[in-house]
This record gives sequence, structure tokens and C-alpha cells, in this order.
Amino acid sequence: MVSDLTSILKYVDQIHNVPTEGILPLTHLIVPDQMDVSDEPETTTVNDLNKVETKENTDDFYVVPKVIEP
Amino acid sequence: MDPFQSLTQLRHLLDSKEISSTELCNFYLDRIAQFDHQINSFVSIEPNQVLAKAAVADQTRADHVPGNLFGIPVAQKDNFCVRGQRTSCCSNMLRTFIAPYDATIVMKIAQAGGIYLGKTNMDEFAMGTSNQTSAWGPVRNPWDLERVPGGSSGGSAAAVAAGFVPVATGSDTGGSIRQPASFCGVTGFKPTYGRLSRYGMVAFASSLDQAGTLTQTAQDAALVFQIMEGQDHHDSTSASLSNTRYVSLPFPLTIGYSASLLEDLDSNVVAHVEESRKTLEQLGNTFVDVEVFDQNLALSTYYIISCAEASSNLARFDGIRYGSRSQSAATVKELYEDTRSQGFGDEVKRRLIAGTYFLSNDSHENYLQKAQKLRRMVYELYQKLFQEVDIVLAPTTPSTAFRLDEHHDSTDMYRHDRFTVPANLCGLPSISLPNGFINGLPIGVQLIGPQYSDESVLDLATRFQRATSWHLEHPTL
Repeated sequence: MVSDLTSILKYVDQIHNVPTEGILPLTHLIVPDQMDVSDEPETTTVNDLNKVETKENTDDFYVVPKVIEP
Repeated sequence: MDPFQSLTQLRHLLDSKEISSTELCNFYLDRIAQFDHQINSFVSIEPNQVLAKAAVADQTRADHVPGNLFGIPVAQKDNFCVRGQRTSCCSNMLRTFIAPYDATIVMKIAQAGGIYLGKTNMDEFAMGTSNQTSAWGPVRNPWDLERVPGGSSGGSAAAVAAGFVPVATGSDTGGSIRQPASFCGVTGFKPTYGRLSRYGMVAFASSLDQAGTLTQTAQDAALVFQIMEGQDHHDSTSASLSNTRYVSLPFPLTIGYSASLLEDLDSNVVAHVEESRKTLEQLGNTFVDVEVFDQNLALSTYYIISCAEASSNLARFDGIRYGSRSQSAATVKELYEDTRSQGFGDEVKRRLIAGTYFLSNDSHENYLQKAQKLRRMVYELYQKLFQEVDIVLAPTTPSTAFRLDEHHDSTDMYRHDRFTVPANLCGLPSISLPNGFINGLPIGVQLIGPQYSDESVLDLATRFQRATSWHLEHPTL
């Protein structure tokens, strides 16, 4: 794992040989279109298939382990 | 029955009632049962459900104006959500995940009458170029079982090549449809970024991921593309095809060709690319020499961005929000660590660690931001290029399929993507077409077009296949 990561970093380090001053980073390929969606409530209730995913559930809630420790 | 028939041929057989959908599905299911134990292209398949849907299609055919896929089986790559079916991304992390809804593409195929046949094998979370990182075991190439089918859509490519299904979906983040298409001798199409909804397709690198297809012919790819494309309000990066966006390239075309791409390639690969160039010239197209972006730099740019985005996307698999929760942890820290250590395979871990490093405070500017600047350079170069030419012709892969035990170094394997990543960095439509054989193994060539020229790319690809017969060659199982 370590040697692979070293090899990956060594390979991608070639990007530092190219001057990029004044170039803006490209983070998205398209400007999102304005989409009209009707302002009506949709039913997205938890269904039986969602409940299959968890061993523990109560009504429409899932029981998860305690993730905040004192 | 010929297992390699195109969608148009199957459509004709069904419409003329020479076969029923039940017979067609039974035929493919039998073939899968007979041969897939040696290829491993499918990871889940429910024959009873398939046949039940086929029976409904046969019963309702008389009452409906059938859709283009009516009664025809379609396989889904295992990173597309299919309601009620396991969607594991071939990872232990999602080994038990049953999708509660359909991906938009899955839904559109079903609305056109397509019958969901099963899930195809893939590299874990679509990270790989050989389909060896799957938690369900490697896929083998139908042309030579000791060789890889390519990846990450290796199961889809192998299934179509083996005549198990006429069409399978794939996803392409850096070449994951086109590279296996080249290795397996089938047609692999990656549309313009945004033309197909990504809703319900498990994310790897969101600014690069694009759904697409593996088919027998470019005409089949066009038919399925027509069904799947379109803006989706569930995916804010899906694009509407306004008149200002749509690019129609009048035939014959001016095609760009870069000799520098072929410099370090095997002479047999070069000969096949040259032959494809001649075929396209004979069809009336004109060739112009062009300079393209340095392939190794583009590849480095791709790996930094894709790993960083993967690190962010896959953070949700922590055993609480998503993923198979580790049962051995005593503390919260252990819960996160154990869940991710046990759930992810080595290749995914490698990319997540590298991606997290690229995103870190100390490296963000040096790596991720630098790569995003290089991405703009690649993008602008192609924008300029497409003012001079209509289409670019390039190899898909530097070689034919390699042996399962051939590559041990990650970067060595990554270099197989060097001809395919530019189309992802720039969101361009690209198709890989079979263009020859080397020592009995297929190889492909790519056509790359400007954004939103998908229909023109498919048109040229169809013309190419009318003039060649490489796509009509099939492996003997």
C-alpha cells in the first residue's frame, strides 16, 4: 500500500512542471440549468425496502449506534 | 438463435412474432447458465422475475404500441439502483444493500419496455481498469479466459461480447466503458456529461462520472441513447438540450488526428488506427493533423481530481449513514475505522487515501487546485481544437487485453486510461469501436466529438461500422 501510494504521488507530481499562473480552476463542466419543478409535495415516506436495510428500526426511524461520546 | 443479434434484428423478430419475449429471455438465461461460470460477468440474476416480466410483455404486446426495447432484456451495471435488487457496486461495503428506488436510466429503460435481466460485475465502486477489484471475483475476457475484460464496466462488456445480453449499461469516469469495449470487441458509448441523468448511479467522481452503454453496434447505442437521454430534475448536472447547445455536424466531416498519440505504441495498434483513418477517408471525411494535450499530464490531472472527489463521495460509507456496519467496534472511532477497513478493498482504499491527501489543507492548493487549473487547460485546448475539426480520432487503449497476472504496479495499470481520460475531463461524447485484432484479441478505436454532438458521433460511428466488419466478429465459448 505505502509503495503504491508513493508511486502514485511520484507519477502525479509531473503536474508541478507546468506553469498555471493566472488560470482559473475548472471545477464544473456545465452551468446547471434552471429547472422548473412543480411546487407540490411528493411522497417520499420510508418504505419496506428501506427498512430491510437496517436491523433495528422503530416506526419510520432507524436506530443507529451512539455516535456522540461523553 | 444467433446470440449476437442487434437490437434492430431482435425488434424485428419480436414484432413479426418469430419469437416471444419469453423465448428470448429464456435463450439468454440458458446461455448465461451454460457459460457464465467461466466468465463471471453477472453478479446477480433472478430468472423467475425475468421470465415473469417477459410473460407480461408477451401478454400485453397486442394491447400496446411497443417501446423500442419492448420485451428485450437489458443488463445493468451493479452501480445502478434497481428497486428491490441488490446494488453492491461489487463491494463488501454494500454487500447487503437493496436499492429502494430505480435510477432514472433504469426507469427509462423499463418505460421503453426493456426487461431487467440482472446486474453485471464491475471493479469495486468503478475504480479499476481490469475488473479485478470486484468483491465478487474477477471477470474473464470471453476472447481469452486468462485475460482481463478491462474495467470498470468489465462485466457489462464481457456479457455483451459473450452474447449473454444485447445491451448493458456502464459508467465511464475515466474510460470505464470505452476501455473494456476495446478489450472485449464491442461498442462502448460515453455520452456528453449531462446528457444522461446520474440519479441512482452510485457516485465515484461526480464531475467526471457519466452513464453509457455497451452494445453490439453503434446503431444500437444510438437507439438506447435516445431512450435514456434527457434532463432530470433529480440531477442538477443533467443538461437540457436547447438549440444553443445542440451540435449537429454535417457529413462529411473534418477529423483531427494526432501522430504524437501513436509514438510509443505497438506497431500493430498503430497499423489498426491507420487503417481506421483510411476507412474514414474513403467515406469522404478529411483528416487534419492536430496537437492534443500531453496524455500523461492529462492522466495525472484525472487521478488527482477523481481520487479527491471519490474521497469526498465515499465518506458517506461509515456504517451509520451508509454501508455494512462493523460489528466488532467498541468505540465510535473504531466503528468508523473497522467499517471502512473491512468494507473497502485495497484499490478503493488506495484512491481514498490519495484523495484525502489531495484534499488536505497542506496539499489542496498544490495538488487539487493545480489539477483543476490543468483541467481548464485541457478543456480550452479541446474547445479550440473543435473550432478547427469536427471529430478527433484516437486509439482507445495502448494494447489489447492484458493477462490477469500481468500488472502489479498501480500506476502501470492506470496508464491504460491515458487515451480515454481527456473526454471525461472535458465532458465530451466518445465512442469506442472495434477496429481490428492482434493475435486473436480485439482492439478498439475512439471517435471524440465536441460537447452535445452525441448524435453526430453516433452517426459517424454507424457509417464506420457499415464499412467495416470488426464488430461482427465474436468469441467462441
